Amino acid sequence: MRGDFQSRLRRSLRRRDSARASIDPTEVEDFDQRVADEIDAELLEETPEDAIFLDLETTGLRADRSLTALIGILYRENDSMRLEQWYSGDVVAERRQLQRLQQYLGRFRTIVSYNGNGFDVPFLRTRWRWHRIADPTVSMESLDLLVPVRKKYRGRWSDCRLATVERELLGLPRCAQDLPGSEAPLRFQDLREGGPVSLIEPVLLHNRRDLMSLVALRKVLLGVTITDQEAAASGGQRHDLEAVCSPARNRSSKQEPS
Amino acid sequence: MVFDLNLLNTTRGNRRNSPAEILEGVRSRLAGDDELVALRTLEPREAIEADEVPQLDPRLLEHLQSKGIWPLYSHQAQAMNSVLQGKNIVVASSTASGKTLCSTVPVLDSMIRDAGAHALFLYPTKALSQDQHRHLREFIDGVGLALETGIYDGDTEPVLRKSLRRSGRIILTNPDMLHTAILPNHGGWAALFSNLRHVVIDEVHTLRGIFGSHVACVLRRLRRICRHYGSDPVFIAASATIANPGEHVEKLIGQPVQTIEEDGAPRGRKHIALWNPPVIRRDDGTKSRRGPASVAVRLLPELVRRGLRTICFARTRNRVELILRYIRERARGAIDREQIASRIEAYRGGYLPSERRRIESQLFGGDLGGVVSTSALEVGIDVGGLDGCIVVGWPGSVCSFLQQAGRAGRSQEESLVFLIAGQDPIDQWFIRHPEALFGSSPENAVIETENPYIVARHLICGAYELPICAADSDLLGPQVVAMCTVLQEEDRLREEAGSWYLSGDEYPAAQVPLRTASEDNFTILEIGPDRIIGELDYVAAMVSLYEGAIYIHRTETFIVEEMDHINFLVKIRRTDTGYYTQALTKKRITVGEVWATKEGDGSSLRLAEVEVRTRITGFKKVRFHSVENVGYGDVDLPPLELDTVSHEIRLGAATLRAADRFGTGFLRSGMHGVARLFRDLLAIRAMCDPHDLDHHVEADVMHIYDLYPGGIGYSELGYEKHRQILEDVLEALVECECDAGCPSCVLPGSSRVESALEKEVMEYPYPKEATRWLIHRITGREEYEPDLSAVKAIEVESPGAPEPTLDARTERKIRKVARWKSGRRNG
Repeated sequence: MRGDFQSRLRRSLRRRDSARASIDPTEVEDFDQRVADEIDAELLEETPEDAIFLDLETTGLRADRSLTALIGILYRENDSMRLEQWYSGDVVAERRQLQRLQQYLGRFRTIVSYNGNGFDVPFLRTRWRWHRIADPTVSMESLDLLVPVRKKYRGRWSDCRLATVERELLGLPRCAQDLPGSEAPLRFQDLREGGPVSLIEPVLLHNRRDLMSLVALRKVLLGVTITDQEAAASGGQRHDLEAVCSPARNRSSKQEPS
Repeated sequence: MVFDLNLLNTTRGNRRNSPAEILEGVRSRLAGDDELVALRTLEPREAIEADEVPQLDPRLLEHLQSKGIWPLYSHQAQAMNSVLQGKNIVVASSTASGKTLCSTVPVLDSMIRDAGAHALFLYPTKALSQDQHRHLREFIDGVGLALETGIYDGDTEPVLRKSLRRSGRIILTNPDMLHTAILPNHGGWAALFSNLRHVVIDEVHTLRGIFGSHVACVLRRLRRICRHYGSDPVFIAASATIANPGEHVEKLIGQPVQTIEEDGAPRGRKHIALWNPPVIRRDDGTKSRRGPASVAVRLLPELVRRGLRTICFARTRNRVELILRYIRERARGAIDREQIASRIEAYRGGYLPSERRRIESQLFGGDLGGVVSTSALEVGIDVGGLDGCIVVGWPGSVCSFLQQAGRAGRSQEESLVFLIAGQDPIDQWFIRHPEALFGSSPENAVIETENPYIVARHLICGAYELPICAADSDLLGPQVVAMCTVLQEEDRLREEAGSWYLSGDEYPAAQVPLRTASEDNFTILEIGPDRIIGELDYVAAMVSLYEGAIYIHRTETFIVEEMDHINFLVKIRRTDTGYYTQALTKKRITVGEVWATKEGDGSSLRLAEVEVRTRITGFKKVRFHSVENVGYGDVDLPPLELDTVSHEIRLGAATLRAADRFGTGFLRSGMHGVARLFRDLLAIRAMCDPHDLDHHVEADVMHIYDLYPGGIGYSELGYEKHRQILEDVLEALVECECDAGCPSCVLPGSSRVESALEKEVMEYPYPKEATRWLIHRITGREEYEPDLSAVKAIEVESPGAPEPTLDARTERKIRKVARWKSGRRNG
C-alpha cells in the first residue's frame, strides 16, 4: 500500500535539489620528498628508524568541528629522511588520509612531536573515533618534546614556542616570511572555497620547517639534558598515551599552546 | 450523561464571585436562551496514595515530606519505581496530576548516586522550559543539591551556553534546538553525551503529526550520538490522556516503554460550559451562526471585571490580535471598561522575546487580569493559578481542549471553562456530541516514521553529525544502506569505505525545520521609526506578506511596502486601513503512482501519490467587522508545488448521468460539499489538525489529501475509513439547522477559505440538497429527491464573524505547499 519507497525517496530528493551544483572536493596531491641533503649524516645516524615525527595543520582548534587538513610526517628510511605531507580538503579525503596514517603508524614505535600530547594526538584520536577508525596510537609511545623543554626552560625564556626553542637551542631564527600557525586555517578555507593551491604553500613550508626542527631538537634535547628514559620519567606520562589523552585527564593537564 | 443546567443547586454559592455564580451571571447577562448548550460540573476527586513507595535518597525523601508532597500519588510511585529499575516509561495522566515529579525525582536520585550523571529535558515550547526550569531549580535548591542546570534555547546568552556545554548537568531544551544546535555540535557536548542517563520528554502527545514524525527522527539521531559516546539513556515521557500513549512513545523513541495510565491525583471542582453562538438572520435574509470571537470579545472583559483571572485561547495569532483589538475598541469611551481592557494583553509567538517575557511576568505577578493567547501557553504552564479559561473555537483536538481547560483551576481550586463553538462542522460535531469531550476514549497521536521526505532529510543531518554505516540500521531503520545509496546517487552523500559522508560543505540541520515550513525568517521592519517589530518564517511570509498586503501587529495595521527577498526584509508602514487582505489561489492535481484501489457505491476509490500545483493569483481586501470585499490586488509569484498522497473519490458513470437532470452546478456543488465535510470529519478520526488536510474537486473526482510532502498518513486513514466517514458526513448534513447550506455544513466559510471557486458553484442556490443527493448515491442509499425550491443558501461572502487577515487553514495550506519553493531556492 505504501508504494515503492526507493522511488519515492529518489523523487523527493530530485525535486528538492534538482538545481544543486555538485561541489568538487578539492584534491591536492601529496607533497612527498626526500630531505637527505638538509639533514647531516650524524643527525641521521642518531635518529632511530622506529620514530615518526608528526605535525598536524588543522582547520581549527576544536577536533569536533575541524578537519586535519594537513598531516606532516617525517621518518627515517634507510639512509635518508623522508618527508610526507598529506592534504585533505573534506571529510571524505580526511578519512582516506587518516586510514592511511593508521596503517603507516603500525610500522613505528614512537611519535615525536611538539605539544603532541596537548594537541596533535588527542586531535587525531577524536577524528579517528569520529570516522570509526581504530586508534593506532594506543600501542605507541609519544615523545612530546614540549615536556622536557618546559621542564627545563620555563621561566627562563619568554615562552616555549617552537620558534623560540629553535632560536635558543638550535641557533636558527625563523625567517620573517614564516607563516604564523594561526593563519593556516584561513588559508585552508580559502583553498576549499576555490582559491589556488599556491595559497597553502606557506603552510606546507611552515609544516616542513617544524618537522625538520623536531629531528634536530630531539637530538639536542637528548644531548643537553635528558635521555629518552628521563624524558619518559618527566611528567610520567610520555609512554602513557591513554592517560594523557583521555578526556578527563586531558582537561586537567591542559597545556598552553606551544 | 447528564448536563446540569441548574448549577446553583449543586454548588455552594457562599463565596462572593465564585466561578459558579459568575457562570450564572454570564448565563443571564450575556448568553441567549439556547446558547449554553451543555453545562457540566466535574466534581472534586480524592487522591489515591501510593502503597509501594520507591527507595529514594534520604535528602529527596525529606524534601518531599517537608513540602507536603508525601505520600506520593499511586501513579507517581509506580513511575519512579520503573525509572529506578531502568525502564523507559510514559506517564499519561490528567493535567496537574504531578507528572513533573515522576521525572524530576528519579533523575535527581540518579544524580545523587552518580556524580557524573547528566540529563536532558525536552519541552515543546520555550515558554514551557522557562516555567519548568523555575520549578526544577526551586526543587533542587530545596533539596540542597549543587547541580548546574539551565535552559539551552535560542534565547540563551552565549556565556551561559558555554558553561552549560561544559558543566551543565541538566539541560532543558526543545526538539528544534536539539536538532539544529546540540546534535550537530555533539563534540562540544561530550560531557553530556558521555554520561547521559535520562532523557525526559514532556507533553509527548504534542509530538504528533508532522512535528512528531520529525522528532522521531531527531530522537533516533540522539540515540546514535549517545551510543557513539557510550551512553544509553532511559526515556521518561509525560503525556496528556490520549488513547495510545504507549504505542505513540514506542514509535517516537523506537524502544519499548512501560505505560502508566492510572491517575492518583486529586482534582478541584470545574465547571465546563459549551457555548454555541446563535444563528442569526442577516440583512439579506440569509441565516448564519455568529462567530465565536465576537462572544469572546464580550465574555473575557466580563470575567476579568468579576475578578476571574482568565486565559482566552484562540487558534491563530491574527485572531488573537483581533480579539484584543475589538476588546479595546469596545471599551473606548467608558473609563471602567478601558481600565479592564488595559489589564488584558495578547500573547503569541512572533513577539520579540523581551516582549514575551514581560507579558509572562505580568501574568504571573497578577498585574494582568487576562491574556488572549495562541496555543503557545496551552501546555504545562501553571500560569500562577488561573481561575477561568475561554476556548474560542474548537482547538483542534480533545486533548488540546483538555489542556487548555486545565490551565484554569490549578491547586484544586474551583474553576470555570467556556468552549465557544465556531461554525465549522467539527465544532458543531462536538456541540452535538459533548460526551466526546468528557468520555474516556479521546484521541490517538499519529506519527509517520516512514515518510521519505522526513527520513531522508534526517539522514543527511545525521551524516553531518557522524558518518552513517550499516551498523546504524538498528537505530536508523533497516533500509539505511539503501537510502544512503540513493542519497549518494543524488549527490547528497558520498561513500568511503562503507561509511556515508555529507558530500558538500553545509550545515543541513539549519535547512530542516521541524514544524514550520521554511528555513529562513523574514525580518519585519517598520519604516518611519525604522524599528524591527518581529519575524516571520519564509513561507508564511510568502503567503501573508506581499506588496499591498496588510500585516497586523498588536492590534495595529501595517501595509507592506516592499519585500526584499535578498536580505529577507519586509518593509512595512503603519497605516489605518480598515481592511485586511486575503490571498486567492488556484490549484491543479496530477496523479502519480497509485497505491491502492477499491470500488465504492456509485464511485471508485484510489489512494495515490499526487502532485498539487497551487498558484497565488492575487489577493482581496476585506473590511474589518462587515467582512465586505473592498477590492482586489495582484500578486506575481511562481506556482507552489506539493507532492503528497491523496484519497481520491471518482464518481461512477451512472451517478454522473443521474445528476445530469439537475444541471452541472448541482453536481459540482454537491461534490464540494461532500469533500469539505469529508475532510473535516476525517480530521476528527485522524486526530489531526484539520489544517493538515485539503481537498480539491476536478471534473468527476474529489481529492482529499495530506498537506505535507510525502504524506503523513491521514489520507490513508480516510481511504480505510471511507465508509464510516461518509456516514458522519451525512449526519452532519442532516443535523445542521440551516436551510439550504451554510459554512457549518457544506459551504466554504470564515475558516474554510479555499481556492476561488467557479462562479457557477459559488452561486449555486441549493448546495445542501445537492450534497445530500450525492451522499445517498455514494453510500448506496435510495435515491434522494432534492428539494430545489427551498430557501436559497446564504452567500459565501458573508460568514458573519470578524475574521483574521489570513485564516489559519489557508495559511497552513499554502505554507506547506510552498515548501517546494523554499527547497528549490536553497538548492
